Amino acid sequence: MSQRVALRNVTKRFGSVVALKTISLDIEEGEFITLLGPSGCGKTTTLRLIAGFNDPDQGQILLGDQDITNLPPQKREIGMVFQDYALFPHLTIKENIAFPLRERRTPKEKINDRVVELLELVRLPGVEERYPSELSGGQAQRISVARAVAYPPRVLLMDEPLGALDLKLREAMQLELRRIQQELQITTVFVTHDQTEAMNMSDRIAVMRNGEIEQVGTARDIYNFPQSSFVADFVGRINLLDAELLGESEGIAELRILNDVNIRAKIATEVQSKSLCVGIRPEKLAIGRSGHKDRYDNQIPGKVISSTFSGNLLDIFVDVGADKPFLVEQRPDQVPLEINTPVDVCWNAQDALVLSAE
Amino acid sequence: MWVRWWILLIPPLIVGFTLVAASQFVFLRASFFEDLGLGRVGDELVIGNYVQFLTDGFYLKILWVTVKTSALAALSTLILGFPVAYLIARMRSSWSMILLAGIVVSTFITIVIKVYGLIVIFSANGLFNQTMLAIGLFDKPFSVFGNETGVVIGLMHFTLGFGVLLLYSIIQTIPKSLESAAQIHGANRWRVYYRIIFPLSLPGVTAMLLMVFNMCMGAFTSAALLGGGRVFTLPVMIQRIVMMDIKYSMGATIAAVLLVSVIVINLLSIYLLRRLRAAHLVVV
Repeated sequence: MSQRVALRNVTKRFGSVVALKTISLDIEEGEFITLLGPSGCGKTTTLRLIAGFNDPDQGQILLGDQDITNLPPQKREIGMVFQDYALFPHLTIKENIAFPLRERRTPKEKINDRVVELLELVRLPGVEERYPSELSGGQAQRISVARAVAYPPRVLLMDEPLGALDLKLREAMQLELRRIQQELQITTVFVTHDQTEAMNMSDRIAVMRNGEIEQVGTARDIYNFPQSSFVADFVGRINLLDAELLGESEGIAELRILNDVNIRAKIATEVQSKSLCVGIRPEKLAIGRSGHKDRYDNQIPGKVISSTFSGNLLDIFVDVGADKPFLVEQRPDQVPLEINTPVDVCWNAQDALVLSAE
Repeated sequence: MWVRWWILLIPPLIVGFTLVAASQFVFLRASFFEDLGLGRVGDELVIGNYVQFLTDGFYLKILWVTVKTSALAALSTLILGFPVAYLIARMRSSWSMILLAGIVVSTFITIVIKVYGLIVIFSANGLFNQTMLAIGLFDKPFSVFGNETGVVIGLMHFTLGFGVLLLYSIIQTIPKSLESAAQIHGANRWRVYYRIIFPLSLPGVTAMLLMVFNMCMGAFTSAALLGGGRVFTLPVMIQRIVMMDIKYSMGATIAAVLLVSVIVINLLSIYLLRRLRAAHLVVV
């Protein structure tokens, strides 16, 4: 039943505001894809277009081989999990889950069996006769998922479903949603602004910004080979420095940063932009007291500003003369460096990314 | 030092209570004494006035007409007001505030002016009749003057603003996402109303119906002006009997019957709704 989804040159504007510039996206059958981006990037608009709550101004939306661009939501056979769960407060859990089945005229006996089956799927058996107000946030979430998949949907849409849950529960529900999705082999479009959530759950991630898709790829691709400084900055943490290209040979670029420091960095993705920057992930950086000799390709001097301990990590902020302090991620068992200690920050050429600047 | 601030509330309470309850008491008390005509009241306790009211077909018919027109006006207020309130509640633009303000302002307009507006629109040469005759829907002009339909329209005209405001506040409490959820899971527009909007707004709608009904039961101006001396409701009758016949006891009796019937109808409705709710036929 699960099908592929394709957006073909879809645009959408609300009045004078362009919500989506031209967007094209192919979602494979059974794939879990996440639309990731800051608020106002168009991810929710994209989801609402797939659902049919809004019509695109231009372009086509395909579900399987069917053009659903002009089909009303109730005829699209889509399941959806809402941010506020949107469980019907006047109906019991059973009636809530049965809602899509009843609206599609499923026989009564079948509905009863299906409800029991779905409550087992979401691991919440026996709550049939309760009302939504009697459930906790996590339970309401599960029921909302059960309702969305009750009448096997052609695609499952989820609009920031974990936003209202606390951290522990959110992490548990990430695994739970992924398990359900895998069990049902259902094409899923998930919307979030939380990059960890996106990376934990998705087969592929589409990073969106200002109504456009910046990059689509697996979590690894996007983290290791971001195609723009925006993606690099939004997914994970990164230190960005404006850079000037001096020359390149064999995939290694010679760059000048901070006006007088020459460094080398690997060119992993094609960069067209004139203005460049280099990005180095904080976990790729090493730090040592000034004057130590090490076998790193690049090295810049700086001064420790502060350090924060977060259990599994020790974050050290170093002033290297750039606009923002450099963030160096260290193992927590390292001896903490005193504030104002002169240090060298070092990294290897293959760990630095050459990116197009904003 | 801690001041017992509520002591300050006692004098206004006494004044308020005296003004409201005592005047009512003095008036209603007259219903238990024989009416000697010309504003004179006997000094012997009797229930004759009530017997007269309840055995006289004339009075009973007036009671029935009052209940009927009020109920019809409340229903029409719901039917006309709900779509308006729904649209305003679901509007995203600033128009909703402008429209709401318009409704609030219109409820401040005195009923007399509103009713004359109605009479102009519905007169034989008025906009409504000329249009209907031109289209050919009517073959003779429809009059709102001196018939029950007119009284219902007048009452509804008077309560519609309140009705829309009440319904607006109810519909606003139903999240839009519930409608989206119903729609995406297979419900068409009508099914969304039937399964989500109506059941969720039912408690509020009941409250609105009762409130509008109560307003209509006591409404004098629209009923008197549009009844045109041919349709009598209890408030109109009370005014006639007290002011023209100067029969205070009978006037008080009618007022008492009006008061009791309003209370009984309200309690009965609330009881019925509770029963339905207990049987899970409607929601909280």
